[in-house]
Amino acid sequence: MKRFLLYIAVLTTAFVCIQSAAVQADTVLNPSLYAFGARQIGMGRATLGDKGDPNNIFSNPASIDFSKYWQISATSSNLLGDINQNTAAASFKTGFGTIGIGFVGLSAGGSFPTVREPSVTGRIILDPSAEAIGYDNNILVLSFAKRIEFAGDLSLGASLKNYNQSISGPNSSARGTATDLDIGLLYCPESLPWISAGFAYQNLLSSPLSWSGASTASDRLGGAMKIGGQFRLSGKDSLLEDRLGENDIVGALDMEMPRDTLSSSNGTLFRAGIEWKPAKTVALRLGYDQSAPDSPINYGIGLEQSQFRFDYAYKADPFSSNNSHIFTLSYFPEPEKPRAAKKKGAYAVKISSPADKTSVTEEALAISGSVENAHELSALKINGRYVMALSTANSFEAHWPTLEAGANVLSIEVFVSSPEAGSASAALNILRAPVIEDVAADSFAKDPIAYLSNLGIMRGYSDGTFRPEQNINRAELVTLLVKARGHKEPGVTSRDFKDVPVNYWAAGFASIAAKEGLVKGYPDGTFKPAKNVSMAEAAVIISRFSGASLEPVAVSPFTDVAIDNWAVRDIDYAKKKGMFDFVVGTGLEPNRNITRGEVAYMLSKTPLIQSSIEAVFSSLPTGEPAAQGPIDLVPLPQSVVKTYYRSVLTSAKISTSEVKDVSINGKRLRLARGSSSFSETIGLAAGSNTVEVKAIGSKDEEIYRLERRIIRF
Amino acid sequence: MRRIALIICTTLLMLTAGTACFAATAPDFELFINGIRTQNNDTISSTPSIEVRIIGSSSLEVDSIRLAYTKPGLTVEVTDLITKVEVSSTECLVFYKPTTAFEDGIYSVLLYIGDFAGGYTLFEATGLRVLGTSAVSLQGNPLNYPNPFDPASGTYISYNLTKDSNISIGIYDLAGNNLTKITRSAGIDGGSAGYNEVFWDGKTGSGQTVGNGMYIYLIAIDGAISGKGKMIALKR
Repeated sequence: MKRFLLYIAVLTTAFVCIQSAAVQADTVLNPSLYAFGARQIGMGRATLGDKGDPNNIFSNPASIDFSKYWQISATSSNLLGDINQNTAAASFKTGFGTIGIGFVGLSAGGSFPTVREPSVTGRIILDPSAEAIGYDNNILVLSFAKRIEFAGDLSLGASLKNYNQSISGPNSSARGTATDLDIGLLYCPESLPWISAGFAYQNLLSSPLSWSGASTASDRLGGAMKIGGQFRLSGKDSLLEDRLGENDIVGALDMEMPRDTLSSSNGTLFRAGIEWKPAKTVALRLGYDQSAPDSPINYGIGLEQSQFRFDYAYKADPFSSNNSHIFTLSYFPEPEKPRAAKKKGAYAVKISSPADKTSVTEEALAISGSVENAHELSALKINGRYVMALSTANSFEAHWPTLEAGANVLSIEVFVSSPEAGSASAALNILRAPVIEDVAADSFAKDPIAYLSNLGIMRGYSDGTFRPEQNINRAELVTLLVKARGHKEPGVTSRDFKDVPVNYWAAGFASIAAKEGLVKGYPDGTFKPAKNVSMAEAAVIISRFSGASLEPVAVSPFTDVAIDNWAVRDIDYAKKKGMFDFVVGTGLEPNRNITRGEVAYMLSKTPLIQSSIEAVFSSLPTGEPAAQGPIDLVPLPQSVVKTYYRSVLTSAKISTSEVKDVSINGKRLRLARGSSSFSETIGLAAGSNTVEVKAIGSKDEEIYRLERRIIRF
Repeated sequence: MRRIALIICTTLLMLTAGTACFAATAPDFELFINGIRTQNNDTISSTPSIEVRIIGSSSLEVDSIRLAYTKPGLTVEVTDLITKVEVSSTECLVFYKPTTAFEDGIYSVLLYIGDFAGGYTLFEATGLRVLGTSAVSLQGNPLNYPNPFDPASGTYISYNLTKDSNISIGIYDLAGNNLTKITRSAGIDGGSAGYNEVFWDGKTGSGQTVGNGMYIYLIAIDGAISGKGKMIALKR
């Protein structure tokens, strides 16, 4: 916060210095102050709170980061029949923000040089020896905007503008150039999704327009400070939504404080506009623009079709019989939708995350996957309950909030809407294990340790640790292997190894291990129970534990294991069974002491442990939990606010007859008599989205409400 | 027809004066109608206030001055309401304002003056058009001088009116912003029938001098845009 305030202080100081150093010169036209698309003109040029229109780079560069994908727009207008203004603007979304580029071109000719008539009257007449003078005024704009989260969406933007004006005529050719900067911000508060507020300061640097050629003067371009907002009055995320129907109505109000402009007054100006969409493809607009006091009312219409939008604005300008007609053509491409194709094969759910039999410690689980041969999904159920899920094409991401401690079997059923209605299911086995402090979530041994712990084969220490990096000695290893085979601690009456007395804590396990061929002892009759087990020894003992039938080895399995190594066949077996998948690189370090974590990993690959894990899940029933509340819908967790998915699958079972209708983002789904479920896919726009599900009772009372805010990149 | 009427009128004045038409050095004449310097073929107001300024190289015989105007089929010598002012022995002014409005048509103004040497001079301004009932108020294209102009020095905007009219001249930039507005009432300087000039000082309504660039002036007559022009401001 201190740093932020420091930035503000430095910027303010710099700004004051720049403004006070501004050149005192005469004022010329700055067309960027008047560069608008027909849609904006139709709304009285109240644009500060508008989101996404590329033409906004001329008035509030922060706006363009709300655009969808890339977009381009071109505007043409004419005054008096021979003064042409052409505007082009485009914005491109990138991974680090949105880049905009714009051009404003204003040109006119036909200003004729004159002389005084050489008679006594001295009247003004055309200079017959001189040609007409022309004038061009062009601006090139480069913009950048980026959004950050700040209790909503806060977009910051800037435009670098290059001015180029020229006068061309006999003895009067001159050219003026300048560079200046616009800054802007646009804020969409999370708590008030129907409002967007904007601020812009145009020509921050107050750079002089320096002339060369027939004139060497300097002029000032003028600028403005603007503040304004846009208000969604009806439609999605609006203030009045249901009360005014489903059609979008947007209002806008701007206040502008111009400085050094050519207008007869530099006082504060107000602008207001309203846009009504009686249909998705049609928009009607009405605006009030105080900067044109003689004719402040503007009108407009917009037509959208196939990613193109045509806008027209009518402005009764001061030129009376030459009323302005402004035309804008815009292109807003959407990502290609998958073509409707015939189903190529059976639907099959593929879970990409988490992997089957993963162990987790959290109660909630995020599940992502896809449905083979599907183009579009419509709903998702887990264990019989409808779950709100994010989706794009055939991919989905869902969340299951309540994993039981221990083994869980999740039955995932995905419903497909395209190319044909259908569904597919998959089961996901998850072990929810207690947190072990010294086993990292990304440790290769996390799942094996969790399972061996759950099976009671390898337990952690009483202090809550597992000590996965700790070495394991021969006595410990044979003990856990013998236990894994189901042997209980046996009594020992005779000594099998010279160095293992009968009262040694692992004497019984060592004896059984020897009898079952897991270990043979050393030629001198010893067992060396306290000796740490090496990687090679572990391979030998665990391959015996697996009941492996070893084969001759032609190629050494690791670069540091010689082909004539005493344990090469066991190491080769273990490698083929994936027991050494944790080894990084091409060397095994066979003589290095193995750790507890590595032993757990190797053990988890043995047939006995694998079948034990299977048994854990296969013994569990999958049931349908009882519904909770009038609508049985498992919502996305509040923490899910950012995603690349482009739609939300919202389905639920109605658990009570009290619910008459369901409203999803203002759209009423009237339930048929006897209907007990509904399903709706809601598209996510780039940026902030709200998904609101309401259950309406027979007296139009709200009996259930769910709201989630999702930011789509 | 006009020529015949002019010959008749001239002859009438000469015969009535009873003097041969010769003079040593003819005086100069300047005709002003409603204060506007008027020349042949100008449009004049239907209620003209005629002023002739006579400057001679020798003493003028003011009493000999006679004034007449003609229109096709009508020659009128003005005897009443004519005022002669002797500014000096070599300069005098003649004023006349008819009590009734002129009908539409083409008029001539004639003025006879004799000198003490027995000579005389006849001044005539012909083709003066009265278009008081014309629907069109602005003739031709307005112009400004100088063009390009230095905004610090301003520029004159000229235009021809067919009749006395209320004039409003709006100055705009190419974005359609109104910079300032100049108004003139009908019948006074800038709003009179005939040739008019109005000065714009190169400043906006808020007092800012405009910079280099093109500006538009629109001339509204009685509220309706009737003419336009484009001018270039260029600071040297």
